Formats: sequence, C-alpha cells, structure tokens
Amino acid sequence: MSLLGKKFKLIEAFDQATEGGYQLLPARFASLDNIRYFLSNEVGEFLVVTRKQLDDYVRKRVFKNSDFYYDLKSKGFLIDADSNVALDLLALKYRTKAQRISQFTALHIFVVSLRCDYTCQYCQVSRQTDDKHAFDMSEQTADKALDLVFKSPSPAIKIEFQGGEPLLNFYLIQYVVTTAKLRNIQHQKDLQFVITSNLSLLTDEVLDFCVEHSIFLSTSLDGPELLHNANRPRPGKNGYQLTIDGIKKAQAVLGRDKIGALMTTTEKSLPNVKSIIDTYLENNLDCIFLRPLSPYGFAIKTRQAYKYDVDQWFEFYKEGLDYVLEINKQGYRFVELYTELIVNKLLSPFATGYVDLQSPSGAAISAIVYNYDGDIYASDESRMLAEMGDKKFRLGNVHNDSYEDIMLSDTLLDMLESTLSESIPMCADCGFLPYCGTDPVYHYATQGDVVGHKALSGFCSKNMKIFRHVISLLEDDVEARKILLSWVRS
Amino acid sequence: MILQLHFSLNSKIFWINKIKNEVLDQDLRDTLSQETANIRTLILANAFSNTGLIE
Repeated sequence: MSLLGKKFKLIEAFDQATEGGYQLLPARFASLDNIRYFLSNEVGEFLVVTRKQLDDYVRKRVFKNSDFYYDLKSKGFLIDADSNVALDLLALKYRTKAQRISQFTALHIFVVSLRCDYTCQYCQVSRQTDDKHAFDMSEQTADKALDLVFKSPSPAIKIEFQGGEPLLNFYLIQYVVTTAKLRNIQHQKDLQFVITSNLSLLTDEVLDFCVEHSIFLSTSLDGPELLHNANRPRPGKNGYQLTIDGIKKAQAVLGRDKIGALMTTTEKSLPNVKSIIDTYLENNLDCIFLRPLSPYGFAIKTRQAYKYDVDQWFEFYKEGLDYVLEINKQGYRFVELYTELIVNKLLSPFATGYVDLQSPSGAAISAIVYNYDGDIYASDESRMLAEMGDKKFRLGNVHNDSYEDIMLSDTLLDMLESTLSESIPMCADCGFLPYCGTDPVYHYATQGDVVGHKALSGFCSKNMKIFRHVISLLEDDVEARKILLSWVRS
Repeated sequence: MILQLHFSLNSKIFWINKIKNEVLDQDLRDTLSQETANIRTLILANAFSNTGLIE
C-alpha cells in the first residue's frame, strides 16, 4: 500500500451503494410542529426531519449517498458496513452524560430557620412567625448535617442556606461556614456557599462576612414595586425597596456576579413580563429565571397554584423570551436561565446538574435538604410537601440515621428507580427524553403518584412546549440561534 | 352509557388526520424499538463497563 493509502481509504470504501443497507441505532422522536419531527438518539444528538424522512429512515429507504444519510450516520442514528467506531463512540458519550451519577451530591441545602418576616401568598414553605426559635436549626443539628455533607463523593460541594428567612438565624450560618471550611482542610473539596435571602436583614456585618468567605447571595425579585409588594407582602409594605436596596448594596460590596435574583410567576405577573424584565435590567441584573409557581405549601392553601394553567404560563414565558432576545439584539447580554439550560442540554454532552431535568431525578443525588429539625429530604419540594403534613419523601434524620441508611433507604432508591425516564410510559418513546427528566414530588403532589400519567402532567406539558419552542428558534430564526449559542458558549 | 361526539367537517378531518398520524408514529416507534433493543443493551453495557464488549 502506498503512503497515501495509509491516510486515505480506497475509493471503493466510499461506494456505499454496493454495501448491504444499514442498521438502525437506538433513537426516539417527537413531533416538532405540523410538518416536522425531532429525532434524537441515546446520547442527545438530534436532527429535525420531515415525516417522509423519518419514515424513510425507519423503513431503511434512505439513499446512501444523500446528505440525509450522512447526517444520520455522523450523528449516530445508523451504522453500516463502514462504521467501525460508532458503537464505541455512543457508549463513550453515554458514559460522559452519566458521569454525574457517580459524583453525587453537589448541593446541600440547610434550612436554618423556618421563621420569616414576609407573608408571601405563594410561599412554598409554611413559614412561622419571627419569634419562634423552635423553628431554628441548632449547632448540634448543623454538626450532624455537616458530617453527612462531607461524605458525599462529589468533588464540588455547594452549601445553600434557605428558610424561611435564613438571615434570622445568621449566627448559625456563621457557625456552619466556619466549621465547614475548617473541616474542608482535610477533605479538600471545591466548597461554595449561597445564602437565599429576601435581603431585608442584609447588614454590613452580613456583607463583611460574605466578602470574607466569598459567599453568594440569591434573592427574590418578582418585578416592579406594585407587583413585587403584592406578591410578597411584609409589615411596612416596603419589601420591594428593601430588596432593591439590598441588591444595590450587595452589588457594590460583593460585586455584580455575587448576587442573583429569581422571580415567581403569579396570576398578577402574567400581563407584566416586559416590566418584570425591565426591573431586572434597571437593577443591573443580567439574567432572569421565568419560573412558574410550584404546587406546594401556601401556593396550595391560598389556591395561587390554580389561578393559571400551563398554556397561560407558556404564553408568558414566550413573550418574555421574545423580549429577552430583542434586548440581546440591541447589544445588551441578558439571559433567560431556563432557556440557557435547555440549549446547554441540547448542544452539550455534559450534564447540567439541574435537579428536575435528569434521569434518574436529582433527588438526593444532585441536591439534598437538611431541615431545621434535622429531618432530611430528597429535594426542596419534598420538604415543602412535608410542611403540608406529608412526609413521604423524608429520608431520615441527621441525629438518628447514618449516611448509608439515608442514601440506601428504600424511600430514596424507590424514588430514583421510579424516575428513570427510560422506563416511564410515554417518556421512554419521547424524542425530548435525553434533555428532560421527571419530578417525582410534583407528580405525587398533583396526581398522587410518583410517576404520574404524562398525558395529564403539567410538568410534561410545560417542558414539551418549551423544548418545541426553543428548538424551533434554533432551527428557524438565524438571529435567535446566534444569541442562544452565545449564551452557551460563554 | 354511550357518548356521542359531533364535529364540524373541518375538525373531523383534523382529528382523523391526527389519529392517523399518531397510529403511524406508534408503528414507527415499535419498529425502531424492536430493531434496536439489543444494540441499546450493548451500548449501555459498554458504557458502564471497562471491558471491550463490542469487540
């Protein structure tokens, strides 16, 4: 063989018309719109095809020298006599995507107090008034929880302080941060801290502590003053002003990248998506997470969760995303976080760690919750449900149960097994499966069953609509595609 | 109990086409899943092992 022959295949190798057809590789599909289908494989490679192309592919009628054939082949939808690495490559990509499972649990949520100075109608945890210390986490409980934190195999550990309002128990936050850092000298984890706060108690002492320990702050900002104060009432009716003052103070002292805000959509938010986004822009926040209400806690008691449906929320989201893209077109980088997450999942082989969009679900293996009383829950939603009186997803208590008892409990293993989308009716055949997941607590809360009937699932309906919309933008809108890709690349 | 549904001609055509497409989709899904069941197992086995099962 000549020197060239070692580098290039012989001409016969390219004449595939003489070979004996092709073999299908595992794939799924879902309709994208009235004329197109979304075809994906086991590792998340995808193609947007017509019904005829889909039919030809499955019936093995694709002409071998066509562009479509080479697309199918290069993305791992078929193998032929000339494909000798396709299966190894698919296995490698699958292993890469599943890597996160061996490195569980990265996010540890400490509910340091259930007390809160706000009385939000949609609050997902049943808060107590701010004079009941019985609802604060103790040092002993925090110590036991930290024992469990450092048993996680994850090389990166994030400890997030939640409530109620966690700054009402700031002493314990200080205790946990300093103790965790001391313990980490031995464990050498990549250790981060986040305080989720309404910022009404953000003093110079708190900010100094955040600077000293590189602590991130996360807050709630529901939109302009009228809307924010209506959604998040507090005595004095000055919640909005306190939040804005807190954001500005934190940005000045900690830096813009150390403070983020989240919004929750109520019925009152629906006609106001543009002014909500404007509020974020006015306050130098460069991203927003358009979040629907979760059907737990006070959102159920006050019936807030039933005041709009998935279709109404999706119109809100779509209008918001259009506006966000418009802002980007004018040269200002502003990101909608859920869309960014979806685009990341579509275009990257790596897991995002977002609890709800994983198979199996991220319950306890992506995030775990230590409640103020030492009870351990598989997710934030699980403890919200527990505050409503249903402790189905309680995994144990830091004072009574070992790490092994908790992580190998039937409650957790059953839940993880039930959330493998690959074996869930309707999910198993869905083209969006590689990017989606299932939320066991949501389905249990809304349908009384951890798996649930996907045809009746608001979770499924919401995500299908978002997938279809984002994929259509990537396919059909050149400018939107550029912007969405820039979010991922940066 | 018998439930009677009445459609306009347009919506009748719409729903008939929708059901036809759904049946065709399920047929394609069945073919795909039957033909790729073994190879899916092989890929997963290889992904979660350190052996060269494919060779």
